[in-house]
Amino acid sequence: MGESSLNIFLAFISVILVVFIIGITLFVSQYRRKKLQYEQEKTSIAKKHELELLNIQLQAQEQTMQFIGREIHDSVAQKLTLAAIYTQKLEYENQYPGMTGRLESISSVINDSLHELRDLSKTLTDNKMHDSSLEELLSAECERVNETGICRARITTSFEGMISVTVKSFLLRIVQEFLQNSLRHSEARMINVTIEEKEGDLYLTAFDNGKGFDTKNVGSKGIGLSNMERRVHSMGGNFQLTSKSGEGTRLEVRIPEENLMTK
Amino acid sequence: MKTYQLVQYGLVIMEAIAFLIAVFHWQKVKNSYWKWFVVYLGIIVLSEIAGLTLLYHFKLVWSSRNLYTYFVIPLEFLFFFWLYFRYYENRSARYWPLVGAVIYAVAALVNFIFYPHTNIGLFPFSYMLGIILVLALAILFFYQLMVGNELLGFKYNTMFWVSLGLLIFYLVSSPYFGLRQLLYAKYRDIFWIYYYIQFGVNYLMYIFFCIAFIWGKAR
Repeated sequence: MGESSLNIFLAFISVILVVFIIGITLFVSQYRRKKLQYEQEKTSIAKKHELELLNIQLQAQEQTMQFIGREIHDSVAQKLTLAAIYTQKLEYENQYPGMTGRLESISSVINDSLHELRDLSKTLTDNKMHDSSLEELLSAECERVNETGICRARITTSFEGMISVTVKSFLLRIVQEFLQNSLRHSEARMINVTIEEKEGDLYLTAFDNGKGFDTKNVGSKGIGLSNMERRVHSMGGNFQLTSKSGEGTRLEVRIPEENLMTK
Repeated sequence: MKTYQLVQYGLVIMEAIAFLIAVFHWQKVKNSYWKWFVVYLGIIVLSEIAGLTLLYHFKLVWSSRNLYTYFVIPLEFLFFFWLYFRYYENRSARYWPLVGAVIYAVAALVNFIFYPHTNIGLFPFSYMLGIILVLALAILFFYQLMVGNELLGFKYNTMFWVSLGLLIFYLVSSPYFGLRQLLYAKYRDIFWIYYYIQFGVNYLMYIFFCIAFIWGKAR
């Protein structure tokens, strides 16, 4: 009786020790897992924040340039035009015959300055996003890809509806991100971008024939992908990215008709 | 004075240190339920002093035992059930400490009414049941901590240190309390080794209580 009780006692002690060791191991491994997850989330948030800051910075820069451009065109250039007219008038009326040559020089300097300022104003206010169609913008992007010689990019479009500058800009950024990812990571030989209209909605499809990737395990690349998704959702659209190892990557975006003119 | 007596007095000193550290951090806990933990530690210190005085000064062995059986031990268990209940107040696990407290209270009453002459020296079943229930609550706490979002800041979680102290103390000392008579009668050497181990983990529990007050942030 005594010996068997002692055995039970020793077995009990052993069980307690084992339970304790298992408990500590589980606790430590779970702690490390959560710590790693926390660090990854922190890095991801920091990168997202950085990207948003960059976007805001670019927008502010663009707005400032446009403002300066408009000011040059509407204010300084107008005054110089006026100065040129006055000078030409003086020259025409010939009130100061001895100064004709100098007035010609002044008029020439003013006209040169006016040309330079108009050029500068045009450069500053030149906004491809406003002036070019989505097809033109995307074709230019595909052209840049083709110039690298890494792969062949092609755009096909049958969309003829109206879209706002914001939607155009978002779609351009999404395609740029897709093209860059394909160039950097996919080893694709061919990229196809299609924009079409179905029942008024806009459908953007991009496909590459590269090596594909596991969409659940994207690491740092996930920031670009989540930005694409965020942009689509901000336009009230649907976003789908499918990829399988060795079978390429396919991006499908749908923007509903009622949101195509989102400002 | 014998070594085992020294160890007993040492434990009272350790408890008093824990109480003093708790009082020192009163400002931190005075607006939370943790202030009652300070009061609890004070009562434990006074009870231990009373118990040892009755035992060694007045030689009233049964009075000392009764003090532990009918006051100190039920207070310990019921207090920790209450502490877990307050901790889980806004969580789904809040009913488990209540269930534990009711089970223990019923077991203790049955123990006291139907077996009035049993006490800690004879290992009443209510005592072992109390240990198992507190251990279950401590394990539940660690499980919830591991699956929840508070794991990364565990160092500042007061309940973490309290639960760790309880877990180590009750887990290590439960075999001793369960088989103490047998060990004393037949395996005296093992008994004395375990006697000191049991006191060691008791010291450790109060050290963790001190850390709980020093590092912990009362919610």
